[in-house]
Amino acid sequence: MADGRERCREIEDDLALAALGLLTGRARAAVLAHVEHCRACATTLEALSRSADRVLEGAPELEPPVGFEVRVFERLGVARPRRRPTARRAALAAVAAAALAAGGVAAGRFLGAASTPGLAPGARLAAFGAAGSGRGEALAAPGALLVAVSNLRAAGYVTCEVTTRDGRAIDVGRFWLAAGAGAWSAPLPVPVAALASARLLAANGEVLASARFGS
Amino acid sequence: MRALALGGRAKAASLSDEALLAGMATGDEAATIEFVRRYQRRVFGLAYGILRDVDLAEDVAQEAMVRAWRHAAVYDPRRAPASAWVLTITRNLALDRRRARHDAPTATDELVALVAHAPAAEDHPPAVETLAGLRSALAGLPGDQRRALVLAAWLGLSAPEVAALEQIPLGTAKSRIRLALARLRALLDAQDDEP
Repeated sequence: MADGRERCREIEDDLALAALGLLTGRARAAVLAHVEHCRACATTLEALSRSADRVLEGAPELEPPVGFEVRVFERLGVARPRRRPTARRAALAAVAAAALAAGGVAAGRFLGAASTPGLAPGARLAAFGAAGSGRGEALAAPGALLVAVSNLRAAGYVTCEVTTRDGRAIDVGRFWLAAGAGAWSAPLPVPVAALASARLLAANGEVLASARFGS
Repeated sequence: MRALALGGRAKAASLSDEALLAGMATGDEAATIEFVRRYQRRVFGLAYGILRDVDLAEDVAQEAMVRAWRHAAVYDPRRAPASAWVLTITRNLALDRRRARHDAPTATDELVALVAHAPAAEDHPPAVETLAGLRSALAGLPGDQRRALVLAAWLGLSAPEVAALEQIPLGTAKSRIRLALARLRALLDAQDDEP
């Protein structure tokens, strides 16, 4: 005897959970068994799954620790993208040096390689002021912003925001702080020359640190 | 591996996500590099939202990228958009890892705030339109339903966990999730029907 509509009604909550990947074990087996011979529910499950896929696309983004992509490339056997030393790579090294000086960040964990320290042409530096002994630097290079901070009185994720000379505030991304420290790089969607300042905001909007870019 | 047909990373940057997967499937290095760079924030973000542990999230995010790369040849663009495929791989890996942990942390205020303020605009042109549509559809849901849905979808909370967090009966949590997803489906379908 085929399942009646009561069965469809019983199972409708579980169809949504299955679409979201949250059903396991017996409940999941029961849904799969039902949609085998109930076309209406099979169609519903398919449609809900497409919606659940769309919801996933909106999941909050978070910048992985610096070096993540390098580690993935290694696993995939991709040759490390060969580049001549550029402003970006020199900037990475300078941030690493600053972070090491600040003493709070294990640069080895975060960086793929360090080469010549020093500010490259086209890059600008901002030193963060923060409550207590918090410190750090933001280095803007063409197309990239690199940030290293330590001893911030916060944990969890922070949002980094830059402000341009003409007053626009731009969210550069969300980053993870472990024990008040972190180092990240993020795409910089404005020219380096346009930057005025940067700040780090806690999840509740509190300003944790701010910095003005030198010329 | 050498960049053959695609001709380098500048070209790869302008490709659709689906074309990137096709390129990865043929071993094109430029496509692989662009794929990792394009997806790392979304993949890590989703893994972290579900696992709430940076090291585990990185592990899962790496694994998800490796799987996408390994299975790029069987990805069928007719079945789902590339982003859905990659993020579903990520979600399932993260949920499996979370279930294997017996001391999984529950959602904190910080994470719920993250979910409430998400997502920030990302500047990859192919995704922008779909994100705007999604955000508008999510805004069309009643607040309770939207919350239940994003807690389940973005933080991977089970129905009992949503119920505990929201302090509502389990049946209410399940209904909210179901109604939210069904309503979202209707709103998204209506967008697709618009001229």
